[in-house]
This record gives sequence, structure tokens and C-alpha cells, in this order.
Amino acid sequence: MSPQCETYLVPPGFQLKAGGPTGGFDCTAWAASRVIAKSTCGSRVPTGRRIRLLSDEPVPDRDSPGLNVPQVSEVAYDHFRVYIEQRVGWRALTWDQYEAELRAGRPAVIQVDYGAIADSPYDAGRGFRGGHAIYEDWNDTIDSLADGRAPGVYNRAKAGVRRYPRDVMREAAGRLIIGFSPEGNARRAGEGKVWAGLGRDVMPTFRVDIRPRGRRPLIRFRVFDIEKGRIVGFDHARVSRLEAPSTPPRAFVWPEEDGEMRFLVRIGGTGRLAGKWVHSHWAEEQAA
Amino acid sequence: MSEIDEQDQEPTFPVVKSQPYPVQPDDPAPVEADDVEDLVGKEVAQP
Repeated sequence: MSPQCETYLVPPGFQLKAGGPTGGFDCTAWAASRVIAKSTCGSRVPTGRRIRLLSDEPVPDRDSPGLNVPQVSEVAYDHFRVYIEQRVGWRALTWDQYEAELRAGRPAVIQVDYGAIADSPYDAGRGFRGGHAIYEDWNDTIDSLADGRAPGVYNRAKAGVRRYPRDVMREAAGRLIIGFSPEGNARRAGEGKVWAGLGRDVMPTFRVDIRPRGRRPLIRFRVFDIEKGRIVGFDHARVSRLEAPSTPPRAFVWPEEDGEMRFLVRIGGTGRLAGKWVHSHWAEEQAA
Repeated sequence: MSEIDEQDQEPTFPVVKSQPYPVQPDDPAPVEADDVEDLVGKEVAQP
């Protein structure tokens, strides 16, 4: 993996000052916009507002108005040809993996619980302690709230380029709320875990290899139907062996099933299943 | 033994979106900035 635009410093962008009417909801979009800037060495520097408008949710959902990593990853690729790897859910990173990826030159959208940052000298939330997203690379941390808009609000532009203390970021990432138990208790990402999107300068190559175990002649597996970026159903396919190139894993929500997300890959090549979507566990990244 | 092998299970996970920042009365009024690249484009277009 080659380092991306190592000497290019990403300009900060501030969601409340420049984000228009959805600024208060668009931290993930602003963090992704900085990843796009870093990944293109500054030749593309969209605003977070633009990422929002290009997303599948240009008008924020009334009940859940923020964005998630898969949503901004889709915008980055579809409109800027920047690949943001979706390291969320069961593909989330460990803290050590996250740091190694940054050290290798990759920029990130990191999902955090703002409480840990609110309790640090880098607080820019004015009481906000909820789920947030921040841009990071190996040299820098850009919190799109840190605009110095009021006394006590951390001023990123004044402070300049610096990474937030790693213990603060590690705690903030691990405390990310990912759901609630039936009793209403928060479920968190977990200490040492990181839900993130990682920018990458080349599109990785994946291949699917679907084959039955043992002496069975056939394997049956799900082939998913995708409409407007969502799973709408599935069918079964049967093969004795299928090897083909595929896309990297992409997360899709299945609203009519359970509202949860699943990682799928799209089969490439020219076979009869080319263009079909299957579970991502059939695919492996190929060495560059 | 069935002639068909089924081994197609994969974990699901929740949609985790960021939460809205509660805007304070004295926070700056939001404006909508042009993209830097849009500004660059405009400069190029102007003689």
C-alpha cells in the first residue's frame, strides 16, 4: 500500500459554520469530505453539505438525521472515485489495526462517543455527548465542531495541526453506542474497538470462491436483490464451484427483514451470476 | 446426506448513525459554503 498524499495537509471544515441547514447533523459527511480531500491530495475538496446532498438521504430522516459510514462511503466512490473501506459491524477494527492503518498513510472517518472528548481539553460540543464522527490521519485530527464559536469551544484553526491524545480517541471509539438492549441499556462498540471508514488510494481486488465442503456436489447460497441501495429480497443459487472477481464488501440495510446491515459483494466476470450480490464471506482480498 | 451444502451464514450489525448536535441559541447562523473546487472552477472561468 502506498502512502496517500503524505505531505498534503487537509484544510479543516466546520459543520456549523459552513454546513447550511443540515450542518448540525452532518459530522460524518464533513469527516468523509476531509477523507476525499486527503485521498485526492486536495484536488477534490467538497463540503460536508455536498456529501449530504449527494447521499441517499439528502433530507435528514426525522428520527435519525445523521449519516453512517456506509452512506458516505457510497458517495465518495460514486461521485469522487475515492474508496472508503467500511470497517464497521463485524468488520470493525481493533485500536492497534486502526493506528497501523493511519501510520500507513490512510485517512479515516472514526465514529466516536463524544463524551470522552467533551471531558478533554478538545471539547467543542457545548454539552453535546452523543455519537459523532471525526476525521483523522497520522498527523492530524479534525473535529468539524471545533470552530471556536464560543468561549470554551476548542478552536482547531487557532490550534493548528495536531492529533488528539490517543487515549482520548481510543476511549471515545470504544464507547460508541451501537444499539440498546431490550431493557434500554446502551450497547457499545467495546474497549479497543474502532468503527471507521478508511480512505484508500487504490481500489482493492477481491475474488469470490464458492464451493461445497466435503463430497457434496453442489452448494446453495443466497443471491440478494438490491434496489436503491437497500436489500429488498433474495433468491437461492446453486453451483458446483464459482470463482470470479468481485467488488469489496459493502454494507446494505435490509429494512423489511430486521433493519440490520449485511456486508455483500457483487460478482464480476462474465458468468451467469455476474452482477449478482452475495454475502461478503465468500470473497477475499487479493494481494496487490 | 443432502446433495446440497448450505453454509451461507454471516453476522448482521446495526445501522449506527451520528447523532444531531443540539444547536445553541448563540451558535453562528448556518451558511452554506461553496466547495473549494467550485470556487476554483469559478476563478478559472473568470478572465
